[in-house]
Parts: sequence; C-alpha cells; structure tokens
Amino acid sequence: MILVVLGALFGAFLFGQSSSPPAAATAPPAIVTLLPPSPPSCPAGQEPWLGACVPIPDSVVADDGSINIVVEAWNACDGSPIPHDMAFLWTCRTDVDYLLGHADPGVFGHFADVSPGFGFTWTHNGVRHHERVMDKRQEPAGWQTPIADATVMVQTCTDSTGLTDWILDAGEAP
Amino acid sequence: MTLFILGGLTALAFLIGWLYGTYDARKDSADE
Repeated sequence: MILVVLGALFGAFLFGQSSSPPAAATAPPAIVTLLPPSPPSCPAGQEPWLGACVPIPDSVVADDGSINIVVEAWNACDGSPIPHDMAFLWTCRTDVDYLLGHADPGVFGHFADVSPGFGFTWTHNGVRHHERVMDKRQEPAGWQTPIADATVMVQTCTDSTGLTDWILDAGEAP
Repeated sequence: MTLFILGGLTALAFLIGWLYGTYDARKDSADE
C-alpha cells in the first residue's frame, strides 16, 4: 500500500516535471546609449556652454610671460552679467584646486599687480581687474606661488546660495 | 478522507515536479 502511494507521488512528480514549459529565450539586455546633447550653433565670438552660447574670453600671454586673460564675468545659466562684483578663476585641473584670484576685496584679499609670474585681467562693469595667479595651497601664507597651468574656469557667485555657476575658459600656458 | 489526502499529496507532487522542471530548464538555459 505504501509503495503504491509513493509510486503515485513519484509519478505525479515526474509528470509535472515533464509538463513544465521550456525556458523562454532570454532577451539580450537593452543597450542604452546616452549621447551628449548637440551643442547649439553659436555666433562668432561665442561658444556653447551648458546648452547656451556664452562669450569666448580673450586669452593672451604678455611679454613678461604672465598670462593675461580678459574675462567678462557672466552667469553660466543665462549668460547675463553677474549681479555683483565677485568672480573666481579656477584651473580646470581636478587634482588640486588652484585659486587664481578674485575680485572681492576683503574676503580673500585682492591682488592688484600682474607681474612677475602669471596673472590675468578681467573686466566687470567696465572696471578692469588685474589678478595674479596663485596657488590656493599657499593659503593663508600669501598666495605666493604662481602656477603654470593657465587653463581656468570662472566661477561666479550669482545668488545667496553660494558659488553655483561655472564657466570654462581655455587659457594657454606659456 | 484517505483518498482526499492522497489526492492532495499527488497534486502537490505534481506541482513540485512542475516547478522543478521549470527551474531546471532555466538553469540549463543560463548555463549555455
């Protein structure tokens, strides 16, 4: 009797196993490629940045070897001028932050001379500012070390939330 | 009553076999 019952159960197990559907073919994983948005075509003197056209700053190397970059500080989001006299220039390098300078006297200091070493000049509201390029790591010893990489970006402070907007500027190292 | 229990056990065995067969087929497909 017991053997009959066990045989029936085992037979039901085998019958259920043979009745199960075959595995469906596994669909290949969908490949999603994220393409960067097409840069807008910008008029002469401007370049695409964050989906908008922003002015291309002039960049020159002075006769004394200093790097003079004329930068108009603007809002990276809408291209409007920054509402107050505050802007920072940073290198594009990600390994270390170099604070090139700024134009907000009393906060971090103000560098009025350009030479010797590297420096940049930028204009805001018709006032030309001259800044020396200094190594941020020297803080607060006096920002005495010029840096050789003049590729900079402009960080503008446009609202009370802090430094939020970024603009790239490609400068040339001597 | 006994037949009812035996029928339930048989159905349970069939279900276990069906599930095992499905699992085995998927595993073989994944191993390929």
